[in-house]
Amino acid sequence: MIRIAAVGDLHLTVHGRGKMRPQFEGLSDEADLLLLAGDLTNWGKPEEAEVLVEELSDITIPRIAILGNHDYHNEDPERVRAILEDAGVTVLENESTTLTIGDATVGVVGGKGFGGGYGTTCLSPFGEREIRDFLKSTYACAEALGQGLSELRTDYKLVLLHYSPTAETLKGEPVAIYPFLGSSIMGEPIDEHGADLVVHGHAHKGTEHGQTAGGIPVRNVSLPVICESYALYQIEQKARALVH
Amino acid sequence: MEAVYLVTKVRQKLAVDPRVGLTDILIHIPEAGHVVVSGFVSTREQQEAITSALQEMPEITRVSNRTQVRHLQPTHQSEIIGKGTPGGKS
Repeated sequence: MIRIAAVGDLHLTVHGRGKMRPQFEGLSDEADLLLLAGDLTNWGKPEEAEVLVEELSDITIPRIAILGNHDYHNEDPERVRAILEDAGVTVLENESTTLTIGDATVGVVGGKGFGGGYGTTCLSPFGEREIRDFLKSTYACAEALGQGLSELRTDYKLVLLHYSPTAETLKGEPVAIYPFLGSSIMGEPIDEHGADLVVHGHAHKGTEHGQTAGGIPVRNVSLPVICESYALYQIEQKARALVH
Repeated sequence: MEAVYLVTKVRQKLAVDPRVGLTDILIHIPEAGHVVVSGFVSTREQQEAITSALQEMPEITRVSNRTQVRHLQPTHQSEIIGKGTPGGKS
């Protein structure tokens, strides 16, 4: 069994210094790893990333993050990433990482992802170059998810995204903006290669619980959705063994 | 019809104003020049900045700021995941 803490959409600014740190007290005793699902800063500014690092500094378990659209607003996501990595946070952008927790191995594939919509109303890479460009990062993320998940040989496989691979966890958001909240393009490789859990953020008015079209559990851990400092999930080895 | 355009302008103002930076505030225009905003913000400073930012807009004569500062609850329960979970090809 592994215990996962997850939260996204902290949207920290310099005014938020000291506000999250007490909320994370005890987290290291309750979970084996922390997943941070993007929009960790509000404007993507280095000084906000420094505040984030301070807020996370008491956490002693592995911390794995992806960046969200807000972390890109200052057009310097590399700087945000560097500040986090210098503080010991693993940052994934269409990449994977593995770690050992007790006697179990855990693989995490992560990336920001992007939009495009879902199912029959999903945007196609057709027509103007602008439309095809819009979908490029969504397809890049989907490709990375497929490759990463297919290569993992770990006991547990987790997916960490900012945008959602399913419309189910968007319920509560206006349907008109679903294409800007994620895409089923990212759901397909998850279903094809399998995962134990997908967590994402971005959809502040969405729903915590959902699943991909193939039934993989998806959790929207956007802070305004979970209304708690972080969500906690346990994945049981025995239950998992029944599946594989 | 003017309300539609004003809602868009208010939404853009709240997103890009460096004091605010919020993209998920609910906006309502009950009458010309009157804007009502609601939803959750992270800090008192951000809440006050919303009013200041909107008062700078020439199209707006009255601001009703009904936003609330979000107070997080401690995390209590852990969800158990795994039973019956499909596993794809792995």
